[in-house]
Amino acid sequence: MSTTCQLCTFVLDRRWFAVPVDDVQEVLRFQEMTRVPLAPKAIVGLINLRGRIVPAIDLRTRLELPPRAEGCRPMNVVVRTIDGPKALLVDEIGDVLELANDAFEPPPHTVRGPARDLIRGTYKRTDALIHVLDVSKTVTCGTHTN
Amino acid sequence: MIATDHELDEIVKDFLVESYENLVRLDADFLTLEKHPTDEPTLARVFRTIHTIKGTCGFFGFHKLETVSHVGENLLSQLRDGAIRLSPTIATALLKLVDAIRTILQQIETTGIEGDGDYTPLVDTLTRLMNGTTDSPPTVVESEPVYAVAPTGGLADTTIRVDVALIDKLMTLVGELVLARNQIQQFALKLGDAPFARSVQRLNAITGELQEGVMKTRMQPVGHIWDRFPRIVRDLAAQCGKQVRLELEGKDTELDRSIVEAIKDPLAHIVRNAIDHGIELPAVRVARGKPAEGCLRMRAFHEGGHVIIEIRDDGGGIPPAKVKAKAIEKGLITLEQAAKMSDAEAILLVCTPGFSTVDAVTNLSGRGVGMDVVKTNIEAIGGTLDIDSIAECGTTIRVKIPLTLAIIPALIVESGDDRYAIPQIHLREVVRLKIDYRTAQIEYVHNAPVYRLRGRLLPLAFLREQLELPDCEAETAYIAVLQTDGRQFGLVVDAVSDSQEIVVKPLGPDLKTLGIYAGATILGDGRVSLILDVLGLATRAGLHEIEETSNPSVSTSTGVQTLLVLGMGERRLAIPMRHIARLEKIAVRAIERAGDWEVVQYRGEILPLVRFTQLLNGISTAAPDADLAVAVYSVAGRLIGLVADRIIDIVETTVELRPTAVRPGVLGTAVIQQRVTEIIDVPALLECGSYA
Repeated sequence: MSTTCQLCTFVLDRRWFAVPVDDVQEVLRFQEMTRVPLAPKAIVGLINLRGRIVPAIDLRTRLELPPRAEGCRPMNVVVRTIDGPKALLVDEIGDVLELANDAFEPPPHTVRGPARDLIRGTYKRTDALIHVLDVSKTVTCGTHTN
Repeated sequence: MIATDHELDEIVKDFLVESYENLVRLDADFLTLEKHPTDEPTLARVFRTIHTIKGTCGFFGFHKLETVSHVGENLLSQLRDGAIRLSPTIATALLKLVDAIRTILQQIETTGIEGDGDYTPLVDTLTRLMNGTTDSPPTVVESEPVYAVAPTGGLADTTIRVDVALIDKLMTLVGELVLARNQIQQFALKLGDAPFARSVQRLNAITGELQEGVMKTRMQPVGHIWDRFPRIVRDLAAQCGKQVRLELEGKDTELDRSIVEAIKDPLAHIVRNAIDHGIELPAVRVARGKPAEGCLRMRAFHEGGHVIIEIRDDGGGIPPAKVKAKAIEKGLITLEQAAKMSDAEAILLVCTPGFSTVDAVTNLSGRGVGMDVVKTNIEAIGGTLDIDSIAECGTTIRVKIPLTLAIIPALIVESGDDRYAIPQIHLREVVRLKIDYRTAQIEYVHNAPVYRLRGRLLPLAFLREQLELPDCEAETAYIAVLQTDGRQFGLVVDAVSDSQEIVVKPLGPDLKTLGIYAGATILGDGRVSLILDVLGLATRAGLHEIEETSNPSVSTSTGVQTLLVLGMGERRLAIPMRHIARLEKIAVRAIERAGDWEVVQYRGEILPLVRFTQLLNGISTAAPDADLAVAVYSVAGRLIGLVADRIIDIVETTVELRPTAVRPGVLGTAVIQQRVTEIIDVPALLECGSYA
């Protein structure tokens, strides 16, 4: 008997990533942001989420992927964390998928860069690989500044 | 005694309310005990409750109640100590006891006396149970009086206890409402629809009242914490062999409860310091020509939207030389630094972590929790701490704290498209820099930029530079003159947009650790704005290393006041800052007339103007078309604009009034900044000009 896992998927630089659906509070279109000078590089701004102030973390920066093209407006995946909600900026939102844990595999040890710590593992689909991120590690941006 | 009077004494009322509450819990506790007869915490609690009732009613002279609860207490103490075990019989008897107490309390509440119920059978039963004859039939409680029907509209109905978390939640919601209101107001302005504008105005008024109401529920008088000081002072003085008289003033001054909590310990520490280190031994005092008894004065009052708490002792003061020596010894400063340091700066060293001037560690203060912790705690709630001290005359510590933490007045400044909020508590004034200010108005002391503010050098920090934002080419700029840590510095910003009430929202740990933002808020247009942490910003800019150029007044032992000094022709006038809401420059062409009054439109209202020249028979030397210097004076919810030629300065100083020829509205003259200055009594002046 195989168990399954529900994932909220999204695209970053034409690659598929996902976070567990249970961690996701909501998904939003592009939101106006207020930049935070001197903040860790990945924290690109603060958004007003119905009166709540939520930091926006750009996953491209976080995963050291090339920056988004000019004029390309990111979407927000708002995740719940112990420090309150945080918005993850992604290129596009995909479907919520229910995937069998049989298809899961931890990342190969050849993965380099910050992704090595952040990717918990990969679901193998026939058409693509879906990388599952560790939410609590992803939202901890440290103190290096831009 | 009091019990014969139907007008119940306040204390009796408190006793009744408290007892009712405890009794409700007692019922539940007894039921728990029936299941777990030896549950110690519950037994102890039940015992305490009955014990309290007994003790208090004895004090009021309610003898019947005292007798009943006394027997109950004895029985409970045996239960608590494990001498006997709770049986159903005992539990029943104790529940009857609770009922009896309740009946008597209701009697007291309605009639003021205990009533004529006969409780001897109950007392007998309880006594017998205590003596171990538990097997006697529990018939005795039958003869108890029928319970009085609970009177309607009793005391318990006029006050309720509310969970603080609920009030906090309400406060948050009101905060949201304020933001929504701000947004709607901006929208209404854009739309310009009259009926809609009226509704918005109504919404505005209701929101304001609601905000005030909710704030009030959270307000507590400072007296709550002051009540404990007489005891602390008495004990400490006795321990140190000193004589100290404590004077408390302004105990009705109200503060948000979260702040009351937060300043409790810092204040106690300051008081401890004052007695332990400040006030001298009687013999020393007499030798110095002071009365043997030292005086410790605590004063709380409102000033410009903040609460000031002043703790003043007439002791030995903080000796700057000794402080410097100690700081060098502890490696906190170098010899060269010490040599350059002014006395005022040296005194501030006591707030440095790892500092303590007392040679011996006494068990009073000096337990490793020094003034640095006091200062940190006060700054954590957005407050500031100032120390004034003169050797052998005493020390004054001024703690300035916001009324509430949730909603604070702030100045919104701009840097390009970004807007930042500066808490008003740190803001002293705003200076507009003219075209070419970079070359014409900003000078350098070596490499540190400074601005000449009324003859004194004000160290500057550029917001863009501090936040590492690209420089801009704008022609004008503003200096926000900020005060932190007893020092002033100027923050150069591109523009100043508005001052408004903002709702402080916390930032996550990633951003809080940056140390330059105190939080964030949502502005009227829904955009998020960061709140600058003024102290953090000053530290970042290295402003604390710039030598103090201003000359902070070292106070004598009379009250330090914040005064606004104005110029009228050749004359200098000073008025207390307490009632001044804002300072404005108003263009002459903005003046309109309403009847005999000169008025201007000011922030959506009509502001009447009163010229000092008219009231004081003065002569203005200002050019007729020069902007008016207006101090917006707030009295009984109304605003009046006081017009002078120019604003000279805001000074914190002690005032030594010298008698002058009596003129209505003038209290006298004093020397402020080495110049003779007339001290104005604004209410009296307005009255004699029939403006009040």
